[in-house]
Amino acid sequence: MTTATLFFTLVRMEIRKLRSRALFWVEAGLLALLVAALYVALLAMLAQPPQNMPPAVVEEIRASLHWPQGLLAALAFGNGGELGGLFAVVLTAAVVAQEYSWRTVHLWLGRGVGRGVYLAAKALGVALGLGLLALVPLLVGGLVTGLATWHDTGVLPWNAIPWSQVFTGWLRVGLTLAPYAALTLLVAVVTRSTLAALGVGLGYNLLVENLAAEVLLLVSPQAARVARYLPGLAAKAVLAPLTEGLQVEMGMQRAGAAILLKPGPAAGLLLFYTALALGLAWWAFRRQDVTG
Amino acid sequence: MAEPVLRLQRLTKYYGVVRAVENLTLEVYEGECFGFLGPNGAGKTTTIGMILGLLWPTAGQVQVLGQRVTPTHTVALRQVGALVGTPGFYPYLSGRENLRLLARLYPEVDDARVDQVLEQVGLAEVGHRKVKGYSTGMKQRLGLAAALLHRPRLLVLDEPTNGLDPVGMAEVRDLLRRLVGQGVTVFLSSHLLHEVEQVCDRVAILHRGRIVAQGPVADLLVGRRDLEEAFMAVVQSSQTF
Repeated sequence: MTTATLFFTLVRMEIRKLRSRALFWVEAGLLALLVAALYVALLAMLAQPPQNMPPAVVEEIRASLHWPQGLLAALAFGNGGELGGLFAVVLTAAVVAQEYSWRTVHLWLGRGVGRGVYLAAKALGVALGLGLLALVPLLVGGLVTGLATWHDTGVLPWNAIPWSQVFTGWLRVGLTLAPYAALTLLVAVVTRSTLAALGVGLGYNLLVENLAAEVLLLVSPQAARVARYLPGLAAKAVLAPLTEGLQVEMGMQRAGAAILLKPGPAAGLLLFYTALALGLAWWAFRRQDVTG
Repeated sequence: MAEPVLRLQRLTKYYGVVRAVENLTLEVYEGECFGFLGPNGAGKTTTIGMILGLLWPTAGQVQVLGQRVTPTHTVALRQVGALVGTPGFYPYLSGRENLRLLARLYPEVDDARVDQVLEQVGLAEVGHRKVKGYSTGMKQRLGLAAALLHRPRLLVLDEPTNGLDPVGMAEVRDLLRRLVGQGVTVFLSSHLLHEVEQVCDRVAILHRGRIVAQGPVADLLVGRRDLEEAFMAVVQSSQTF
């Protein structure tokens, strides 16, 4: 078996394992529920808009709840700086660190599977899993906004859907998840602990990054510009073309909108962070004594 | 003399300043059952970890089927079957599904072979059950099935009868005898001396990380009642140094 054949065999195994894991389906279901709840809240708000809300904003929200704009906006719910980041951390921590606690990593390494191939297949397996999770908001949002469109207009504008934008949007969302997943994978490999990987991954996503951005904003406008190099704001920059013109935004971009990088450099930065974390994980794994 | 299937040359492992094993040198030949004896903590599992490329040696080297094995060079291990400690499996998959997953690494292993090894280790009836519901003994049997799955040339077994009842232990001993009869080379680590005495041709005795005796079982038994007496004599004499 060549290294390439072995790699693709291992990737197929990772997919097989992922499909059999309750955690993956629970995450997908939970994400679907949360996205649906967000849409219900938006629809409720639209039914009785607050009196002080400008009509232009109401119209923008209405547009985000109808096809084709609604489909693109739906995708953004799964991005790394929002719900998607949390789900990416949980899935990666479980998929990588539990191989140590279950001692299943021994099964593969002790059979002549190279460490580099093993880790690369694991990383690609996680990436494919996250790619599928990133589709959940699109499916749920597509369904809800489709129903809203049909209810309000009586037709579904299939021809108006920008399929290429939907596809590139999905890729953009996947890219925003990558640094968080890679950081979690690194911690999981180094500590061999699901709890530590979860703690660091979620702590960074929920606390450290937001806190750093806020503190930098408080220091000075110049210091705030540093925040745009953090994965969270880089993710916003990558997603900007997806959410352009929409006021229905979440999280940090309110503070960072003025200082966002251009989407191209931001995407490069996210790739750099991902490659750095994966490279460090590979270095640590290569030198590791797999004991216990 | 034939090329050894397994060769350890001055193999040494330190964890910080703590010596786990030092200067282990031994050779195991095709078709023999080699017993690797030692009290708990002697360094048996550490040695097996290095044989399987799970641990980096501090010094020395491991050769399997003529090829050097390190954690980053493990090609030779494709022809090795191993059982290390309590074997790990995916708890959310059944025993059969776990083996089928492993079987994907070996194009020559099909579903019929999976069923055959399950039968061999006495798990055919429970192969459909999820591993999280298995007892320690059942996991041990499944580990043995996984080790046998691809008809390896070398079997490396670390305490294979752990968690088994007396009947299960006897079954494993019979299985090992059959495998050796079929030409499979077995490296059997154990602290159960009667087990080793019954199935092995040669043994090495490890004590505090060093080999203190090595040779055919028959030679060690000269003037002694059984392997236990021989083992105790060797270990006690090594403690005086």
